[in-house]
Amino acid sequence: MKMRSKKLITLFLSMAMILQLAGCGSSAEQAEENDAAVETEESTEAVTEEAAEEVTTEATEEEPVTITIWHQSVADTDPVKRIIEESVEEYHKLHPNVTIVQDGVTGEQYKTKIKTAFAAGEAPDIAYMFGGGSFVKPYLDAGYLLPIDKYLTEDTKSKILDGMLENCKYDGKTYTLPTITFLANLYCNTEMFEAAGAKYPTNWTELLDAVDKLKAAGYTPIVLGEKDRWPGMYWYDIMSARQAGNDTLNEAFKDTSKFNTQPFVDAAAKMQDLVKAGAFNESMMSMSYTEMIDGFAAGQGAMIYQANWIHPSFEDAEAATNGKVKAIAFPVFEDGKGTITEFSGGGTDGYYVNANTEHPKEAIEYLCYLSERIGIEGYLDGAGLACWNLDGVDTSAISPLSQDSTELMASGTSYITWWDNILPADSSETYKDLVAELLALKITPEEFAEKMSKLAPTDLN
Amino acid sequence: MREKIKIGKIISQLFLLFYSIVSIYPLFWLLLFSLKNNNEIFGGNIAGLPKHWKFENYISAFEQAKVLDYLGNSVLVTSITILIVIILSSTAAFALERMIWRGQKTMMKVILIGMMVPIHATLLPLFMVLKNLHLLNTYWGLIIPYVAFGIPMGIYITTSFLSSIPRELEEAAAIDGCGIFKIFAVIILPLVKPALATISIFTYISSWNELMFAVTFISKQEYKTLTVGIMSMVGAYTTKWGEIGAGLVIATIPTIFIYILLSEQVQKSLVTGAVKG
Amino acid sequence: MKKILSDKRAIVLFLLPTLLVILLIIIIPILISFYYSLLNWDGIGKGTFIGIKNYVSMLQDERLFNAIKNSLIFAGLSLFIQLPFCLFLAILVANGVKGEKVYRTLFFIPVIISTVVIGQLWQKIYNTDYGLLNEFLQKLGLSFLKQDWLGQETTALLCSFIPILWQYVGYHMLIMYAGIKGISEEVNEAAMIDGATKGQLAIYITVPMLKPILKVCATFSLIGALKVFDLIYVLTGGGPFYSTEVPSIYMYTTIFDAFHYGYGSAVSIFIILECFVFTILLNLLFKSRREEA
Repeated sequence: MKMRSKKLITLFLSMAMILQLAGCGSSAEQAEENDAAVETEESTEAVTEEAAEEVTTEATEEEPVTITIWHQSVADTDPVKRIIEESVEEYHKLHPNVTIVQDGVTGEQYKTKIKTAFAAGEAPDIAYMFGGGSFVKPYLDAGYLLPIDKYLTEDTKSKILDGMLENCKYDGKTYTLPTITFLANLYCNTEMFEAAGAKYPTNWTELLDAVDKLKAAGYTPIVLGEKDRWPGMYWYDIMSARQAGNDTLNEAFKDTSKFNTQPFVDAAAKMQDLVKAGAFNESMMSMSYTEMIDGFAAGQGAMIYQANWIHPSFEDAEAATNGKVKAIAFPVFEDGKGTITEFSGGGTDGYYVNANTEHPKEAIEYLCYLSERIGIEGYLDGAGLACWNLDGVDTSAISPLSQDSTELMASGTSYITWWDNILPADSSETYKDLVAELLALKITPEEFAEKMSKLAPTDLN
Repeated sequence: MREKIKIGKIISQLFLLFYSIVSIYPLFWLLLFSLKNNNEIFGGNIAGLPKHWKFENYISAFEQAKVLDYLGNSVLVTSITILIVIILSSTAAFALERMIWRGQKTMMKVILIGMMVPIHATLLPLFMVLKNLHLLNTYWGLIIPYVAFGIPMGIYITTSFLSSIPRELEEAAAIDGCGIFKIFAVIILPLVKPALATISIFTYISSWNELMFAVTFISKQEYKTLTVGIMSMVGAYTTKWGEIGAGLVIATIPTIFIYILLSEQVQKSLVTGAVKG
Repeated sequence: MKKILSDKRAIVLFLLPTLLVILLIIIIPILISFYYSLLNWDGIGKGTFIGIKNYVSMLQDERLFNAIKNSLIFAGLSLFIQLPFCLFLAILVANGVKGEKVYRTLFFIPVIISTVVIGQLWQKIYNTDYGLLNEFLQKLGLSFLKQDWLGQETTALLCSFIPILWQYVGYHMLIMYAGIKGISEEVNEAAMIDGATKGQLAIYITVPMLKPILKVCATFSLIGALKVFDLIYVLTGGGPFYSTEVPSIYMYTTIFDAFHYGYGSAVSIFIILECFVFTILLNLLFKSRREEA
């Protein structure tokens, strides 16, 4: 009897603890709601305070403030790592009362960590977030992130290139600033193209021709690592854009039944044509993204379709491809509506402010400072393409590949980011699976289009 | 007859030799891997000697990845973890296997559940628990979970070990008037030494190589462990795999050292235990 | 004697710290996970309570069935192929071969090398374009056998299991080896005097006496198989087309890639229950065998 009552007590005790712990998610949210309420009250004060501050030239001693930021730039090969580290020190010199504490974690682990931290109400003041419907969107919907309009100055806005700020808006509010952006290009190994006597393809026929010639010369025409599934998605992203045109794509994202139309079937059929022509490496299904990039850099294939974040790998002093790679726009399709000035890319990854931050003003100010620095210095270091006005910045030293893709971007008239940034998480996963099945010739183009039409539409506007 | 045995011996020797090569090959491969650049690693020269010996990879691992700083943290976290796991496993196993009380079997089952939990599922709940205990960003935030996931295995091994040891020694000690704590310290502890050495090895391996908790529960540079440091060389843009290899070689050396040390212990105590038993 | 051994204070002192740690780090998180598994929750904001609906939908989830099937195949392989092999090695090494210590040390090396390395190594072995396996086949003149080992549904499953089975041979061997060494020499000597050969000795003396240790190994390898994750995740990520997916990988991607925290938690509870049930079955198996003997 005694034992039993003891058991009951421990049971009750643990149940109580669990309820308390499990309740964390909701209690954090309540706190957040309260905060939001307080904020709106304060906002009017804040504006006047800010105005007053500007007049009195910040002579008053300010409270010490600590801002935490989490990001995924950890490797020395990542130019953004240096920028963040330097910005932390220099920002402290500019604003002695503000201390920035930064912490970086690599890719996949970063996603796990940031999701866990948000769920537990322990997220940092500023966090790097992957853009779009499958990552940042649910957090925006749930009010976890803070709009930055209140502290965003006209001066900062004026330094951002036209149209770039649009990607950072959601429901009419600005949540982040652009840093650098990415554009997918077709990269060609010039040495192999010359040896095979192939022409850099500008249209579908020329692409097939180049594939044949490269193959005949003993090269793998295209390297694709489909193990991680998203590299194949990039191919269908652009091929359907070439077939249907960006306008039709934008309609289809909102009304997915449009995916079950001829252009999308044709694009899928063309992709299988490439597979059947032996354009891709046989190891496609087991090759990871890393193996694909490093493989291309080691001279394993003649073409690769990827975004410009691969430049540092291809232009590494030790890479076999150093100085031998050319970036071109994806070939147009003679029977397609898409034009050579339509691009895949223009991502919206960026740094977002936690709605629960105790220091929204300082956090947003640092966010603006950091975004601009990454925007300009990151571009110069070849980390990505420019989103910020580069007037008065010496850009002569940027790498040849970055110059290629800067020119391509300048020629662009329309951009659509990667589809897994547009579609909701479930649809993105299914879409990537379907592309993989298409590449493995497991489904017909018609079945592919039919299944695509069943996806949940995007809820971005 | 004798010749038959001889042939058998030769065959078994050959087989063991072959399997030794299969077992040690990864170490050899890792060593070569750590001295190559990406071009060789992904260019087809995966098993051969490096064409250009890149000893710089080790310099990068020490300088850029700050492997030494992280090494200290790993040593601290792992050694405290092992110590606690040993103490708790032996005491708990003694109480569960040798002492007499009701609910022993149930308790054993509850503890064994610890081995069955898929570690990834516990990430968020555990994060919440640690947050409420204010243990995030501390050494204890790693040690306590490592201990918790190490003890069930430890207890299981120790109890099975104890169950195969006859009770006469304890009984004799009890008749001599020894108290329970003395029985544990003087009789039981020396007897289960081999089990404890085995447990130390397993606990060492799991906590030394653990990555997910180490990444998620620690956001302060000064508490990060070696695996996290090595993984931070995996870049969003380029990854220099040779340097990662160098980091992993540095991380593996203490492991081998400790393993040899501890397995010596297993061996020794086994021999002495057998004589006594 | 009994009095000493049922000293309540000592029991509490011996067990309390362990229980506290287990309660905090294992039991409470399981209960929290169980609570999540009753929610429709994406890990963000508030979840809605939906009772056992997640468990009901698990009954129709073919991806989960496939994952379970894969983990059971793996469990079978490790119980019936890996463990006997380990036992064979352990007996061979423990029975006074020349260089016993060296072998024992070498066989354990794969266990201490981190998963990252083992994963990289086996990726290079299986690599289609320049992998060791395909090159080996070519040298043997069997180039028609060359294939994309990890990229085809037909071969990927087995190919992703082999590295794990191989890596943990040393692990089980060490436990068994310790067990064999624990069997006192006198027993063996007595048997030898009776004219038993080494083979007979192994079958009739070593294996039966090793039963408690074999149970430990079987339990470890069973539980390990049912929640296997790391190496498969590195090698195939569960692909191609989920053909190598196991419950833990399915749970992980459900929670962290697809934002289905509630459903993923339900899968995790299932994994725990599955392990528990199979461990009990294994226990019964060992018990009934003991009674027979």
